[in-house]
Amino acid sequence: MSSDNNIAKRDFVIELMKSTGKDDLNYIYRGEFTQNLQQHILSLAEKNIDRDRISGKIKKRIFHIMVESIQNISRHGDAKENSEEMTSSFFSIQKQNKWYYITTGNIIENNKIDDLRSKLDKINSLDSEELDVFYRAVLGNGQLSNKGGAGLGLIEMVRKSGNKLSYHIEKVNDEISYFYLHSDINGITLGEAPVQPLGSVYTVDYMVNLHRFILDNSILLIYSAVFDQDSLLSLISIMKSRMSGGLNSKKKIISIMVEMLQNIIHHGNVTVSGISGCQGIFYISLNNGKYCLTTINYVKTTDKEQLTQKIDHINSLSDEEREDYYNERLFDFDSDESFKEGGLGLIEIRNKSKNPLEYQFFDTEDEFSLFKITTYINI
Amino acid sequence: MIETLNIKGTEDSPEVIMDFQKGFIRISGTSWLEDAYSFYEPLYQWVSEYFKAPQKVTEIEFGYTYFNTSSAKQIAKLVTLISNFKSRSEVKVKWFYENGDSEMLKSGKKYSELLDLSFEFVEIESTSESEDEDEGVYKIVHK
Repeated sequence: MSSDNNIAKRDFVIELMKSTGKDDLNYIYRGEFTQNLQQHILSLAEKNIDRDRISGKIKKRIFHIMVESIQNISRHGDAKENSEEMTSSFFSIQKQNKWYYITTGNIIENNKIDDLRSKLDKINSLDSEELDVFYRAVLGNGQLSNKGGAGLGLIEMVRKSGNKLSYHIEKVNDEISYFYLHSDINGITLGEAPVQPLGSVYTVDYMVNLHRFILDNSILLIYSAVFDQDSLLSLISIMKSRMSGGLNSKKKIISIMVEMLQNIIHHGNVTVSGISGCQGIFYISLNNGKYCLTTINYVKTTDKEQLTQKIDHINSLSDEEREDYYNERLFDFDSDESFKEGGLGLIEIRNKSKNPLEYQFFDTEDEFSLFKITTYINI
Repeated sequence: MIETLNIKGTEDSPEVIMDFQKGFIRISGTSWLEDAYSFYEPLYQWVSEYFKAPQKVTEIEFGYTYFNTSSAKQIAKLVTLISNFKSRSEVKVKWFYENGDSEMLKSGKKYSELLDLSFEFVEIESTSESEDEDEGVYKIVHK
């Protein structure tokens, strides 16, 4: 891995946002993988992919590989219950130019590495016919481990993707290592002009770096895509299951999330390079009992000043003044297309988080700027 | 006579019952609507119509687990309307909030005070955080 590949050194999320095109997806979840969470995590990815203009057959394959991948984490993950390692596992899916990249990372005990490596190398060495034969042999053999895997899942992933698995094993200490598993799936149907994944950044090396970045920054989830109410609801479901803590703090975070994500949906619908949609990024981190929620979306550069004034004004008010300001707007029914008016949402975010709103603009080449807003919530 | 409104709740929209015969109105669950105005406008119309010839007693229940700011504004509008008509019927408003949800209690108090309409506050057992699947289930446990 070259040093300029070190994503942590740049403003990674801004880069990510800029590189995620309208039809692209960049989604990483880190943490526990309970049954309930697995469902919600997959549902968000499925909703996104469901809209893609690729064949239903390929969609099914992608879903299948996603399920196998996520099950691999819980099946083969060797982290001890409630240990810090357990929350270092991740599931991620990226898509770009109709190619899909599914990667997982989890803890594995060092004494299992040789076996895993030989299994993977064996599977990767077979052509598709040999793979079928091997699959039936393993199936008939019945040497299923108590965690249910004899490599069947891995074989399935290769069979469904039609591509070899990439993997990487990185030593953590004398006992454990991180195991990264990566699948590439071509979403292009036969007959369509082939697009080579050449030059794609989404390699296993990239994912290892990304994992390091999210661990260093205590990030729980990154979602970079086009936003709508459906993806909002899935994100909420994930975070509801993921968060611990009392009802009040959970509700506070959920409510702030709703306002932040709906701000993207209401204000971020811009047409950049001829493509319209509410493109944005949402990420959340948890560090020393402090949640940090960030969204980034495009705004018209001409709206920058007004938005700046609005946020500066909200930040300048005392608690009492802010309460009055909120109530005044709450009962202002004159502007009744007001569901599009972001004022209330921003005041609410400020009120609930009890911390000033942090924001920043980044210029792009055209008439749009990137608007980044961050909220801190102590729990 | 105006028809009874019965709208089933969803993941992001509340359950609504507006029954003319019984003089009963209930809105409960989650209101995270993108376009709250379009959802609440028919409710607003119904209430306006109802108060033209209301029942002697009108019972109104709000049982929200969550609402976003665009819904907050529509709720404000609805409560304002109810408050304006309170001389026409004996209006009894109950505001339910989940056990420990101080923010929801605060929201109810705000509407009640700003509109000079008295609410009865009723704490109910938490349903929204148990296991997220039964989101919005409206179970009242009187305390």
